[in-house]
Amino acid sequence: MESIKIYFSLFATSIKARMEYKASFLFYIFAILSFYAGQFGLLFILLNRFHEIKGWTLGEMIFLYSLHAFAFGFTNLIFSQLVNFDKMIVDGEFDRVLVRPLSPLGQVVFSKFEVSTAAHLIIGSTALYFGSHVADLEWTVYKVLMFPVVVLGAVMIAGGLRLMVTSVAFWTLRNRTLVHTVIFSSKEFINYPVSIYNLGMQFFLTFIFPIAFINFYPAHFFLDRSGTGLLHPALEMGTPIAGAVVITVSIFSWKAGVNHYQSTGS
Amino acid sequence: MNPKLFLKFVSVSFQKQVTYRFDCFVGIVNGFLYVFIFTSLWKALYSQFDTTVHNGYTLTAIVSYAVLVMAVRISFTMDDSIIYRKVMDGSIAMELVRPTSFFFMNLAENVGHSLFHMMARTVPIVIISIFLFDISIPFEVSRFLVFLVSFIAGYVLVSMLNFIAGLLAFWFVEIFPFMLFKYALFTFFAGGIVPLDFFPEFLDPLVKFLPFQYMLYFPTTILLGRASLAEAHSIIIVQLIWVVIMGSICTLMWNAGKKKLIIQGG
Repeated sequence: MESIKIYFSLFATSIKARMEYKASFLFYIFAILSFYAGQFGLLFILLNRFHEIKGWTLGEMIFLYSLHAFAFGFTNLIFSQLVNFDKMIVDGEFDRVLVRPLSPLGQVVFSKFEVSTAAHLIIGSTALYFGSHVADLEWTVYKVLMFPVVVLGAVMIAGGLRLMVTSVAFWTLRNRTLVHTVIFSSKEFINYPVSIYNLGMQFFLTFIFPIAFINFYPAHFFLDRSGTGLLHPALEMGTPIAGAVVITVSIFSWKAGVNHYQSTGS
Repeated sequence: MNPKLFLKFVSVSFQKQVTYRFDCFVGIVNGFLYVFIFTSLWKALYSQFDTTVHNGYTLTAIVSYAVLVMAVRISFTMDDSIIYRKVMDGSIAMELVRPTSFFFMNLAENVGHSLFHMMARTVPIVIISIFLFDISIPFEVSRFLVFLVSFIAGYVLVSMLNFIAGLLAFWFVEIFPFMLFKYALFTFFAGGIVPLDFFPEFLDPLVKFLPFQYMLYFPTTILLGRASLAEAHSIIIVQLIWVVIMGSICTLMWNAGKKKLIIQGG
């Protein structure tokens, strides 16, 4: 219990540190919103011309986006420090973490508050509202109950993958490009329905690097889309299971990394 | 600036990049990932219609555009946080003492960085794409030479954009939001994903008024053979006008920034 209290105070301190520069905080949110406005703009342009993408209409595409934004927002809230983890190793800052009587993972995870979360939650909620509306989504009680479960599963997938790729730094030291590819570039894959890719890639995004579970599969469930075009119809309920598997594997990879770790001596 | 010195800076910056081989390999995967996503997207969009030409692009033409625009974009890779770091750690003061122009030194550093990415990433990605996708690029010497001029002009514009954004560090503690905002504008208006031919008419005034299209879209369309040589010449003239305009902004900001630096006492 005591350690949870410490984590929270670590976290609260990092929020306070961020809020020091209020103007910059607000502009940051504005910049993120403008970035997504650009992405939505391109989506509108394409759908205006082509009407749908592999059977996904505008409302459905926006809904797909909203699941993604929620998952990414919460993942950033919890796992943001992992983006620059290799720097912690190279600078020897991780040594400081190891000598404290708290779990190293807990300390790394709670040491930084990422403001982009607020922006992502704004985008997620707005997209959820308009997406449901435009796509005529029928919110049953079951769907409402499942929504947080799916988001949690999605966060475990995104966060777990982030933790796994971060752990690579224990062996390679510098792995910035790899981390950025896995965290940011791969996001681009699920901006669109995964069915636009060839079968090999669909398989990869389902079973090897399972980000299709973040939004593509659960969107079938929420939008009452027929699952017949999928690799298997049952996959639309697979998000929580995929999340549990990924997070478990990632914690093992992190622990293996910590055991392997030798200080760089800097 | 003395050309010999310029080349020296280019080569130092190039060699700095060579040290990170693992990053470079991941960089190829990362760049190719984008090419794969967008070619898949266009194929999915085009497959929904019997018509084969949309907004002047056949499927082959749009896939070629997707590959080449990404190739140009990756060739433009530079580290846009150099100036920010120099301002933050105070080493910018050294630049005032040096007898060389800071702008040209920065440009040289960018060129070295970009040349490396061009050889290590653009070339392999284009070769892989030629084998994997149905693309067509007209090979005429005169066109290629005109493209090269337009490409260099576009490069100088991007470098100036980054220079201007970087100099904001003189006035703001954190410039990451500006960088994100710049990235958002660039991605949308430079035609990095969707060529400007697909944009709705009401955006025309905005697109035409901004310099972004001269950075990616026009060089790419010249290479693709979508602009006649006569058109290409007038495009290059406008590019040069933008170079003068943005160059003046760079000079003004650098001078104002220097003053600000002296006030702070360095």
